[in-house]
Amino acid sequence: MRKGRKAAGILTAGLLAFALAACGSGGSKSGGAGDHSAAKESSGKKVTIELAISKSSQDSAFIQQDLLDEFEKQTNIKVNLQLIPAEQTTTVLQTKLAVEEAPDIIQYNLASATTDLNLERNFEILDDEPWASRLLNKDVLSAYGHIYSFHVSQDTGMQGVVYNKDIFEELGLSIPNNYEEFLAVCEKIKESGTTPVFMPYKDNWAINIWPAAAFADFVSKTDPTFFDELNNNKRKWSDIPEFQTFLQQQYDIYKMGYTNTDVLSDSYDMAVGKFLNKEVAMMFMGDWLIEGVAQQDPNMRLGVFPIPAIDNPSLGASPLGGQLFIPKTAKHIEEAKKFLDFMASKEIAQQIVDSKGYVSNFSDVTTPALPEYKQEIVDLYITPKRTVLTTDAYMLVDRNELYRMLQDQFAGGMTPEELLKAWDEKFNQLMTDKQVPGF
Amino acid sequence: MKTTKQLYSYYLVLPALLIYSVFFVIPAFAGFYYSFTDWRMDRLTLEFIGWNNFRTIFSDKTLILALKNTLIFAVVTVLGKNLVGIALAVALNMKLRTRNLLRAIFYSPSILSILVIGIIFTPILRTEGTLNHVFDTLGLHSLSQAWLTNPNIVVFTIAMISIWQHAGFQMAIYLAGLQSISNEYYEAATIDGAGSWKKFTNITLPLLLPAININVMLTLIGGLKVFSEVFVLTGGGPGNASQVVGTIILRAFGEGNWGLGTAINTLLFVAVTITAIPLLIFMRRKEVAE
Amino acid sequence: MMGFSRKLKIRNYIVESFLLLSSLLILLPVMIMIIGSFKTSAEVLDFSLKFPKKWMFSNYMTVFREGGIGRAFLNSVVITGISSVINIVASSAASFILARRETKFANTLYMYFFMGLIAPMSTITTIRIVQWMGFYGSVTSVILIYASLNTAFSVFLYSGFIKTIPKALDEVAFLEGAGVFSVFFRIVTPLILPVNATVAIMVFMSVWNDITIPLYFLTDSSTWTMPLSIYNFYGKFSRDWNLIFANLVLTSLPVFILYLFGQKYIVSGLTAGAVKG
Repeated sequence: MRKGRKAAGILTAGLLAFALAACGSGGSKSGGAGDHSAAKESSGKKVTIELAISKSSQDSAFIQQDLLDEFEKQTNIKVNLQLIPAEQTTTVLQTKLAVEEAPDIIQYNLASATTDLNLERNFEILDDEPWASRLLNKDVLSAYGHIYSFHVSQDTGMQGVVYNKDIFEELGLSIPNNYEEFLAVCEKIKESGTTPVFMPYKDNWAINIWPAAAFADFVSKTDPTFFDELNNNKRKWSDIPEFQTFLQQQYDIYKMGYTNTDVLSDSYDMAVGKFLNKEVAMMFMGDWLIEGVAQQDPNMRLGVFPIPAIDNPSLGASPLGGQLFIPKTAKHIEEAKKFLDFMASKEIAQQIVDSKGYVSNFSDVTTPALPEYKQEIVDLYITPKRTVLTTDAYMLVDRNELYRMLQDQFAGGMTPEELLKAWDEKFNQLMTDKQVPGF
Repeated sequence: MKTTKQLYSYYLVLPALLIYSVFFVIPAFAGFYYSFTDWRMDRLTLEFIGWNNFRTIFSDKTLILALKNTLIFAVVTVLGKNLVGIALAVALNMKLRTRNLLRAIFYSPSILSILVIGIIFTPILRTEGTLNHVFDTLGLHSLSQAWLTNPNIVVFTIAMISIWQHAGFQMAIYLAGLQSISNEYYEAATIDGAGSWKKFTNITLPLLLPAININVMLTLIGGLKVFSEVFVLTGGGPGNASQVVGTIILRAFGEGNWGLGTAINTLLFVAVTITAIPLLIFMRRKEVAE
Repeated sequence: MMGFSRKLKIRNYIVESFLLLSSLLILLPVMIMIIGSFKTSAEVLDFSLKFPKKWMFSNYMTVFREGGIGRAFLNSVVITGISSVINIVASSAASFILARRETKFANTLYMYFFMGLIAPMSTITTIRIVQWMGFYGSVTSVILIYASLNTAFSVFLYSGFIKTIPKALDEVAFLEGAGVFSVFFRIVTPLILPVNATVAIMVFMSVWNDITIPLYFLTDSSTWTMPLSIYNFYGKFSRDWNLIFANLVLTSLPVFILYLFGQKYIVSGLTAGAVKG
């Protein structure tokens, strides 16, 4: 008897769960049906397009629900989002492109798309789209002489040391101009009880911010032909002894106790919280982090200064990321193009540019008053030409193995010298595989 | 009698054979073909390149490390899951009041999705995480470890998590084995004055052999094919310290080197076959002997 | 004699308390998740066993509302349910024949099925086959793939179990003129119920918990399953561990309930299926 009642209890619980779920889906279904009938009045049959995006890009301007809803209302085209786990994004997209079952729109970084996704073979050229003529800066959307991607912004990300201005002012600190000054700043901040630098190096790409800017900054000032020769197989990464120094610098900052203690366990998604709680003062990152923090708390005053690896450093500039692409094999190319038209329309583009504080890439869309930190970047670095493209802009191959090696350095498995040697070897193999001339 | 054998018509095998062959076997073997080509994401044509991919595998330090890690993981988990599994089964075969509850508890982790395991254990195993915090409060500072970030122990940590999750499943098979041992053996041994340990080594272990065999085979196959535990806990890191064969395949695919990826896949298949098939044959032969 | 049974009792108490203690090793991590799912997003960050100040049942409502869980749940039920049924019927029928015909050919077929436990799946070539058959991207393709992926283990369990059922029963039926289908469905199927339950739970679990097949084989993300909704959810709420935990609890619950129902069969199914097989 008791047993029977118990079973009945579980059964009801199960049924309840089922009923709840059925309710939920019933609700959404009837909602869909409602849309459908409304749509019938406006135009023909409803089309659904798929937009694939890495889950780490979830803050993208193009997938805000209100914009998608508005698009659906105007065109009767529904956009289905596919958030792909970050670690699998490349593999999943590569596979789907290879078997010609690609989603209709993909958000990806243009620079990585050329190395990872075989741009020329897989994606539509967008030169003749109606919005193309209104573009101010085609370069940030182009490769091999054609427009392959779409964005409303032309704002290349800046990479350096993101820092909390309030903490700097309270402690009377000024922006460090070389490595020694930077260590002094760290020491002062540490004495005040705040962690000077946050290193979320479980995400291994974050370790590359410091060297990517430092390497490029150094060779642009002393050895400007280096990257061309590197990509012709005439030079090697290990040829430049200073690279070892830069790698050692970042490691020493950790070893001297100026960082969070658990650098290999902490991940990038914790960064915003760390800044909001004022637990940390600085981080080597792109200025997109500042945007992320501002969205949570507009009163936070953050800025960015150059990676202080050499004297009078320049601010790292990375190529624009987060563009939209249309695969050649997409099932709904026309609808996907309509989506781009919609995002490019004057009102919508203006709305996105305003809300995100972008530098507009359309002649008829005005760039809003820039946030303080961005105006500062323009005044202090862009206008006086104190910026330098990071190594990312020059690398033609998949960089994941480099990131893993950098992580290995922090785990104590590699010295900077060994790292550069190992990366030379891997770099050579990847370039050979790609059949780059000279390898 | 000959006719009855024919009555067992192979028609009933057809559906399973069809589904299994079409959706698993044919693609798998087609995959093996690609392991002898230079198939790449960024090239339209592919060429037959013989054993080149396999040569690459054995000249790549990371791949060799991955092979070593896979072996370590397999050995540790085979031992761990089976020893813990037998111990739990023997204990939970006794007449304990909370026996059913305990069985359910020990079995339950094996029904959790590996995603759940990854998300729960990441904060627990951080250097400043729950586990070390517990050790510190108990005054056992020396036991605190960088569980997932120390290259020297990370593989063992992942193996421990795997044992944590699956030992209960092995326990269920061992329980099944124990329950098929007749009580008479034990009664006879008791009359002969045998102690518990003696009963365990003289009766339980030998009669448990079929279950041991199956469990060793299943855990060995699972251990050599390990992927998701590593994927959700470390992604192969720090650096490449916890790469296993399963994750290295993903790395090769990520670099666009699909021919190499399938070659590693093929190698894994051969390796597992070489270790598992003798066990299976041994097992089936014993059956015939009985 | 009294002394002996008392000794036995004491030994049982010791073993039992030791087991109860070590069951905490299993329970505590799971409790962190369950308790955490009722905390606020700030409270949850200590990942401890402290009870929340206020039990936030609303977390679950949020997950239902924002996570698209209802839809994902139904997708999971459909995909997992149908593929399990196909797998069970097809594998048990095949195993019945393979176990009864003790010929070399039947043995080879058995090894052929067993190989599925070992061979790795090949994603791209599988996609090619499904494309060629013309239903890539459909729920049907995923169902069939899951049914085939789990065939090896099912055949392994069924074969072992069916061998323990005496042949005499079906031979009598054959003599009475029954066909192989009616022998299988009317005589054998009722006898293999416990192993059916075992296989059902195993297949159900492995399909329900899988996180890769839908990613590659379902083009429309509105047909994705529950564990993948965790991914989407994890993306949207990466700073709200309480909601993530609530989602994890909801995803694990159906399998757990099924397990509670089938628990008593698992051991008996494994007894004959795996151990004697």
